[in-house]
Amino acid sequence: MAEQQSKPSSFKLSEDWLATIVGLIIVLIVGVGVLGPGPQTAKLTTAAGESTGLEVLARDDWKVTATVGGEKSKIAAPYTNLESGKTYAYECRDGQILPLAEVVDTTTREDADKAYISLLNNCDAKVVLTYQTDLAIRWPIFGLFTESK
Amino acid sequence: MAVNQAAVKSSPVQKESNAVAVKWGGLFAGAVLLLLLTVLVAELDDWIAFTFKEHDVTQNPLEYPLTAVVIGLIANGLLRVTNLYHHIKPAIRTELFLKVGLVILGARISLDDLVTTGTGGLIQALIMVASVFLFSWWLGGKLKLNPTLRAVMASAVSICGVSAAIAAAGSVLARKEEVTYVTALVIIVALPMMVLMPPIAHAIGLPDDVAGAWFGGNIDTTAAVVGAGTIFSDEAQEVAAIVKLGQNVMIGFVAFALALYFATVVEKNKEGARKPSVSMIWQRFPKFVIGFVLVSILVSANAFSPEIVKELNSANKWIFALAFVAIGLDFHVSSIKEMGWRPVGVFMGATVFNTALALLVAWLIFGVLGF
Repeated sequence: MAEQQSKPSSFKLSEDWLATIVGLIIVLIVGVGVLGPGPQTAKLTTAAGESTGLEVLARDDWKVTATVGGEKSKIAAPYTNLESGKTYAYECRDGQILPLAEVVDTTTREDADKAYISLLNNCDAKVVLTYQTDLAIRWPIFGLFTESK
Repeated sequence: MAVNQAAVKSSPVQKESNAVAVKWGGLFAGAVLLLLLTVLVAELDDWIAFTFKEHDVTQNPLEYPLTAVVIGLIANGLLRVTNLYHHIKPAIRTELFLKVGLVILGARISLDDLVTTGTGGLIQALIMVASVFLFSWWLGGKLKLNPTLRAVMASAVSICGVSAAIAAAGSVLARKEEVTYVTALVIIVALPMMVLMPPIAHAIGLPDDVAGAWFGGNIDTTAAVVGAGTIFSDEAQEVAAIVKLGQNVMIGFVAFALALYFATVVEKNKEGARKPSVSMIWQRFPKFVIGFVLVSILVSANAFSPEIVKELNSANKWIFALAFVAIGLDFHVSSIKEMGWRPVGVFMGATVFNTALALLVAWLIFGVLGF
């Protein structure tokens, strides 16, 4: 038994370095949106009498807000769950933003894996329609505490 | 055959593997429990805020650190009564959770703020650490505490509680019981201070930054500092954390100075006395501060969109909630009983001195000089 038995050396990371690495990994995961598409914002702005459109990620639980002439405007039943390849149209009429009832299937479009929002401004002021998702990673993880704050 | 089975049952290898399984099982169970308690805190926090809102109180006066500590304390009591506490103990890593949270907190603090507040924080830390350390050391001498306990206690009160106590103990070769004792005192005193100081700061009308600097300069544990800041306001939380980090940075220098003092004065002729080296400053440096500054630089360089920063803040809150639950779970009083009243007197005297001086220094640096 000439062979010497050496104790296996074990590498131990200090708590400070471990905390730094874990913290930076969380920043990376949330920052790059590794676990999801990350928070999204899509803004459609149209001058009076004009129309515009925008491709957005097809996903659920969008928050929709709008302003007409700089004033907040409530939209009755906006489209919040968007499917890929569909076009969701809005029209501003008599100072109100209205979702048009007909959702058009436009799967032949080049970027058909996304949804498309269009806005026709028949009002006499500038209209801004904003689509937002605020959670990179959804509820039971990082969405905690956000509802009440 | 039966004999063989008995031999296998009692073999050291089998015992060791059972112990490892129990340890990992406890760690896993503890982690799951902590996670569930934190989710409970989040849900309760939402419910409490909603209830206050329904009664026209828009700002929830019971901020989540309080809820988290109370939930942690209740779970602590239940686990001890049912003898399950020691199983889940390995998962209670308060300091680790807090340090992770502080790294992510960097997302909330721009580099400009970090430099401005950090400069004020470092000035305050230098004044506070030197004054409170020397006062505690002097008081400990008057009440005839032994030098190692004086060193551990003075470091804990003047710098940052548990981490400083451990670092100082390493420098002066203090006994394990002394560290346990000081650690228990630190936690027992920090918890009520976390709860009481924010309403006191409100009552005496302190602005956010002065209140934050007061909490950061005075409360011993970083977790309780962040908790008190959070209860007061977002700005107070940021300033409190930066000031406390400034004090944390001092650990290495104090550990080095203590080792030098004990080697050359207290234990001059004692065998086995530790030889101090400058590398000790780096060894004791709180490395997570590097992560904190790095995240702050990334956010200041607009590496992340405002939505992402909002998400990072949410993640930060989540980690802090986990740390606050762990504070409640960590709380214990048993090791205090054995040491008598004199060390408690020194600790309380030093804490009162620390509280008064921190208020004055915070007011001068952040209120008058405007850092």
